[in-house]
Amino acid sequence: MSVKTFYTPDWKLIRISCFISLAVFCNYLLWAINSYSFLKYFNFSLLIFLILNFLINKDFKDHNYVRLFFICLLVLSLGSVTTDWDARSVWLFHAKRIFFDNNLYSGFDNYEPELMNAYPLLAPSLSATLAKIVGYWNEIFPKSTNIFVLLPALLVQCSFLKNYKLNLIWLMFILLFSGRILVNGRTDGLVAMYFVSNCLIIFSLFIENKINYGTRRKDRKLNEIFLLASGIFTGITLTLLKNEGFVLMLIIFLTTILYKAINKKSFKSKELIFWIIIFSPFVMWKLMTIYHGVYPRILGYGVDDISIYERITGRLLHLNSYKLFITYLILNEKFILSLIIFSFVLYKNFTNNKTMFTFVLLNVISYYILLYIIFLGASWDLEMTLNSSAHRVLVSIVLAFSFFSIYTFKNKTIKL
Amino acid sequence: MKTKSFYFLTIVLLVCALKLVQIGYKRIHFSTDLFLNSFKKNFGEEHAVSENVLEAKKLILQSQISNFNLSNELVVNAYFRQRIIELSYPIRLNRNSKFLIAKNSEVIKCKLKSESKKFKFYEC
Repeated sequence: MSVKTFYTPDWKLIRISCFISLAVFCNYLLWAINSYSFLKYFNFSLLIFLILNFLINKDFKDHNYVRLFFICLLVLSLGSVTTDWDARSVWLFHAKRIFFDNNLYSGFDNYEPELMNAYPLLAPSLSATLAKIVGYWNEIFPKSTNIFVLLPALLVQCSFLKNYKLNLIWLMFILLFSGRILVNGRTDGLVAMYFVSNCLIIFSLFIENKINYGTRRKDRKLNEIFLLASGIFTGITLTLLKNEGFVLMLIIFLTTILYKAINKKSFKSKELIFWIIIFSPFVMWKLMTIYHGVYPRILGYGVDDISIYERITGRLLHLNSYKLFITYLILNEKFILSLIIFSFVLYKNFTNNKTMFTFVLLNVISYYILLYIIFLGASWDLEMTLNSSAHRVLVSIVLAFSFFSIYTFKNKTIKL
Repeated sequence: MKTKSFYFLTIVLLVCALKLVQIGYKRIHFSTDLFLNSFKKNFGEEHAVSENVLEAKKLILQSQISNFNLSNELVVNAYFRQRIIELSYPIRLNRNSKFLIAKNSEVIKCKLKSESKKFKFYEC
């Protein structure tokens, strides 16, 4: 008789996380279809109700640290103004535009094109709804809705860690490694958190298949649906946070296919539908931007007239580029620390978690290589680009390394 | 075992608390005044942008216009240009607008409509 170990996530957390992320997505959807204002307000009230339910319901009393963490971030966000350049000029400005123009597509008029009018607007649309409910704009409260967007990703992660000590260590890592970018109105912290959650859900659903969905048949079915729905909503959220989120989701998708191909596992129709649903809102958004002549200002656009190929080869032949890459993409203290932790855990627990380590490393290494290619082709000065964004994009890797290091110590398992 | 657990909890909680304080006071300049007034209309502008930008915004608002232009000296100041675009929205920056904001020191051959300490507002 073969003995297989099954893991039991906290299903209550998965369910509440699923409902919260559904409400966040519905807010975006209601803006996207230009629905009546009262529907947006009703949906937002529902979101607040769900968050309050998590904060005060006795069902979640084992997660007091997570509750406290959420409240602390919210207080920090509400006690500071938006001063960060990208947070102000991209995310909060788009939220302000949605609020004043009462239209998600206000950026399609291409006013100030350098302010990234082609970026997906899930997070700004939630800020705009809050501003609509409050009735006016200011420099403080609109960015606080980013903490609401963060919550589903955090709950998914904590539901899989189970043990409160591991939860606490994870919360500590989040603060140490991402801290400020979660509360300053930027979306990089959210992208990193959702990258981790999506890796986790997709690994659990389609790669490992070692989840205990419950003992009763009815529970099993329901829990499986909730985890699938949670995977769909966290996936959609990641793609609609930022273009980078879409790239990360695409990496997870390709890694999953690669992993299944190597291990000769079949790609079920359920999985195909799962991925189609995840990518659809982002593809629709991009098609609409292209239709309106709003293009992403990434590769190929910039201050010089040379092609991407010339730019990449030019930088590859320049010794200073290597020095800059070492300084910004390797000698980053958070990156090094998380890599040390991950390497140590990998060395200790590799045999028991071979699949998980392979999956995470495939995702992280693909993203890391892609970062070099993107920076090599970046249209602005390399040092300026790396200085302003390397630490932000590395957070996704840093959080993935630290989370999956803790995840290997999951101890609430049953053997069936 | 219980003592070990207690020490562990104390250390992790202490690290979290210190980090929260560091983020709050060193990185994002948390203020209880901002927190208590976080839902007040237009509150926090003076903390978010420089005095110059606020002064220029005041001139734009007083003039009750739908768009404005910036003088060549102001438009090359990336910080000023960016912040005035964000802060004055829904009033938009338009390079063809007849309403112009310029520094007091600049010589502009247009009709002066109003002025402040550092800026002048013209109709061209």
